[in-house]
Amino acid sequence: MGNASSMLTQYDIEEVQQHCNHAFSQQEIVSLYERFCQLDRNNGGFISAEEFLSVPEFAVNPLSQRLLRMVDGLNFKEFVAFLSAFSPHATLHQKIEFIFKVYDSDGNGKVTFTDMLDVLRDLTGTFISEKQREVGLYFQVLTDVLDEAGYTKDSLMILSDFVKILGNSGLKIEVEVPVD
Amino acid sequence: MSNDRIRRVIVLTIGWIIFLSSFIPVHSLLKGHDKLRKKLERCLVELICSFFVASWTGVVKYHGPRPSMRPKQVFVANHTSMIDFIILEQMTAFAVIMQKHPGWVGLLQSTILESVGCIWFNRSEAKDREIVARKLRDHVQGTDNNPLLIFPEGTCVNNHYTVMFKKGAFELGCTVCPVAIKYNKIFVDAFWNSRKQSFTMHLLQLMTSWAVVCDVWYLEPQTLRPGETAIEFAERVRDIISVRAGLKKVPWDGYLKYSRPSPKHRERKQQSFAESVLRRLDEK
Repeated sequence: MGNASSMLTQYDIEEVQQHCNHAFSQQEIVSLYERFCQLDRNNGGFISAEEFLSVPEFAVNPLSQRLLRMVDGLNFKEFVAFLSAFSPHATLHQKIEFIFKVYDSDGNGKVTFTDMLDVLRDLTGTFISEKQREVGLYFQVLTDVLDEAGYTKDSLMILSDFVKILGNSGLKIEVEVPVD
Repeated sequence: MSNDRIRRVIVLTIGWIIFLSSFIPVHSLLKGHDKLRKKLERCLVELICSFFVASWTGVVKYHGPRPSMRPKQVFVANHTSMIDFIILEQMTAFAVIMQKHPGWVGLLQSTILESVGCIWFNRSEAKDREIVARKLRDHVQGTDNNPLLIFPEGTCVNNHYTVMFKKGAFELGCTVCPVAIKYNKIFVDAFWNSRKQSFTMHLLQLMTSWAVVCDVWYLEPQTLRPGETAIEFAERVRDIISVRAGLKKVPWDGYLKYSRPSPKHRERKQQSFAESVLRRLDEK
């Protein structure tokens, strides 16, 4: 599907649908394509980090750097696959897998205590102060959370661990794709 | 060129011929008779705007009472494109505050718009804000000036959202009459993205589209309530306009088109998350 031409053929849409495991309807894929082309200002076939940051909601998101790493340089097919976790048709497992990938910044399939500390730091910025961090507040928060789930701070978590922890949480990450 | 486009170009050309052949004599010959000259110029500006609107096959539905000329009032409207001004202007000759543009638009601004009374600003100049605020105040106090139309968003927005209003129009100590404008997207996307295309291209694009269909609502005049700040007043009016036109309100301002969001938006989110984490910790 290479270059972003302005027309999607039926064949293209089906290919994309296949790639994202039918997470989106064909109409939704057309709408997503319009949005993709709007964001891809220089028509390079992919959305660069700069172009993503032009979406205000994205730029003010504290996890934007992490998300950018996951999404930089994706072509349209991969972009839709990336978004499939947000579809209302996605399973809870897919959503948890997405969250796992956000935590696992080096992509080695394992989330360590340090990874979780990093995410917590991104989420709270300067509002849990350095001093509190020194006193081990972060440590305490995380150890408590892990304790509750039956892990220790030395555990290396893999995807199935995340599924166990978040499995019953009634997680809701959904987006509605506007269809004209 | 299709018949349709030829017709539009002819309409616009006739409009210009009529306008210029009337405006230039009126402007130069009636120099001494200001009141009459102003009245004629007002009519002529309304006329050329109607021609403009006709050249895009504009179908504009006006709702609400037509604005009456009263002193100490300003009109505010949401902003999608420069054509907002033309659409409103064909009904009532407003004075307007605008950014000076380069090219032929700038020429039009300096000559014709001067006659209805315009205030210029320069986005890039820092001290400009105070100068403009003073000019606004002077204009509103003046009895013979045309009613002032202000677009408090400060820039063109996509007609799905309204961005935060600038408070300048709301601290002039006069009545604020909100005007809501909504374009029907089925016919044309009227949003002028000044980062993507020049005004000339935008106008040409409009002229080659099917039609420009929009609704204009003149809403109930509002005054500053006791104890309300200018910013709260601006937000209240923005709410009135957004509800009427079916637009979503977003918490950032128009200058995001030119720069990134300020870090304080992100910090606010971080702060609320940190507070909930700390609260949970305290509860143990």
